Amino acid sequence: MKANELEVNKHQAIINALDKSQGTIEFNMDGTIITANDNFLNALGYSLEEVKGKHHRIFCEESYINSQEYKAFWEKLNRGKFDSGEYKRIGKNGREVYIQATYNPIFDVKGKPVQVLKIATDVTKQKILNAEFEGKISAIDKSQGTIEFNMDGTIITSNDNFLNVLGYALEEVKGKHHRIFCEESYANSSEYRSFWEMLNRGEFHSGEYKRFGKNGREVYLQATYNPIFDLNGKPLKVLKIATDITEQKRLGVERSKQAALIMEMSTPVMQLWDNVLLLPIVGLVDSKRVQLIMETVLQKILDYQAKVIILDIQGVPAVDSAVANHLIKVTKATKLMGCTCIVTGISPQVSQALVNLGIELTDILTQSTLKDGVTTALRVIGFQLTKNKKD
Amino acid sequence: MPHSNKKSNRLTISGETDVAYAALGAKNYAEEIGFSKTGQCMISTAVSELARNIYVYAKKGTITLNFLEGNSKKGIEVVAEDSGPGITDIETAMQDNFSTGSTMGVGLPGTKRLMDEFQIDTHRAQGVKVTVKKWI
Repeated sequence: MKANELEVNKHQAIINALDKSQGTIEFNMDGTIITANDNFLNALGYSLEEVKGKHHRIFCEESYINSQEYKAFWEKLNRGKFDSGEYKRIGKNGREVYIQATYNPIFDVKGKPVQVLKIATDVTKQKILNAEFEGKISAIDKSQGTIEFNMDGTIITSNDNFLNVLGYALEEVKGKHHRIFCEESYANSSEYRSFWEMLNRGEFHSGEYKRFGKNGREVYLQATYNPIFDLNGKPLKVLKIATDITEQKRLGVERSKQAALIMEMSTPVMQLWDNVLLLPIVGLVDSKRVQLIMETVLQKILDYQAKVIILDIQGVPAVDSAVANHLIKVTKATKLMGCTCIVTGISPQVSQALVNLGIELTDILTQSTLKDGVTTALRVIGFQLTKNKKD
Repeated sequence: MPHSNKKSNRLTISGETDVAYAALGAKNYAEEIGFSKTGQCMISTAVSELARNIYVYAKKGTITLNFLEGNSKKGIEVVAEDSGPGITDIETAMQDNFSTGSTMGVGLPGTKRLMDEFQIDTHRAQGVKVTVKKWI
């Protein structure tokens, strides 16, 4: 007797627990509603009075109600078979609700189904969240290259964007180690080892990476290596998201090479005569360039034992106070080396601008044209230009 | 009017190359408006001074070139803006040969002489705004 009582108590406890945690609703075999608990009613936004005696179809979409599928669903329950799964249902005012539920027929003593008890959990939030996650993942997948690694560095899978950049087919890389994308010297380095140790500690890694595609083609990737964690927070795999920046990288390298070449060509100090040098300055003058001009000029003065140097600034588009300041410094330095500096090629426009700016070049020997500059330079070293007399 | 729809040109200053580039941009802009060679050179020099001030004192800022069209006259407006430390003593800064940045100290007064109108906005929480104009 006592054992029986315990059994009854246990059953009651299970029912109470279900009622507290789940949504429940009971139907007659024709689909009309007998009762429902608060959890269920809250999920669909109805009060008990609003649903009592109504048919289950008030929770369904019109198209589903009229379907063969819906008919079969109730026939199945009437045969005493249960149904479970994820269902799309409609709450009050047409709100869509997703529920994870079981429809359980309840039998009388003769084994005939007399009621259906439905136990349901509202999974709408998860469903929306999942849709959002899927959307984000598919957006990344469409626009970026992705590849997944096991924590030991072997490749699980990769998308087409990634494979195209490196020129591989999925079959060629699946199961292989990440090192197939790396230079051998790098793959054997301690740097590479610590890179994977870092990921195994759960730390992410992002930056620009030099990698190698099929047949050793050099590829630059802007990428992040993201450890993905299991529910206990242990790194499970690594998701790498990458963009091909090979072309940008190549352009960048080309630009810096060009800049270096231009720099190299920007100070063509030439010997005009014994002890006379000429430096035509063309283009914009910044502090880096003026530093180079200064060094080159002083070195050449020493090399050629120059007595005069002509700085022609005809090709400088704008002489602002900073450029003028630089010029003054260069002329002062040449003077210290016992060399006369003549600045030529100051156009009428530049001279007006300089005057307005309030810069006085009184200490500097200036000539408007290069021709005058050359004449003066020759005079300084004791020569004179004379025109041949006609016979 | 051939230039009535001429767009403004906004240039970012964050490096020394930008200073030179702004001077070049201003020269071309002035040429398109119809300034003489001398005018172009003065505007270009003024912009170079303003841009260099931004680069030296504030590190970062903008130069905006605007086309002006008044009663039967045309001109250029240059707005130099930064959010740097600002200018503590405006009167001193406007004096010739004064500089806190080891330059010649002719930048601001020189720019004023190169252009027709000069306005410096000091009532700002942060940074400096200089507006200059020159008419053809």
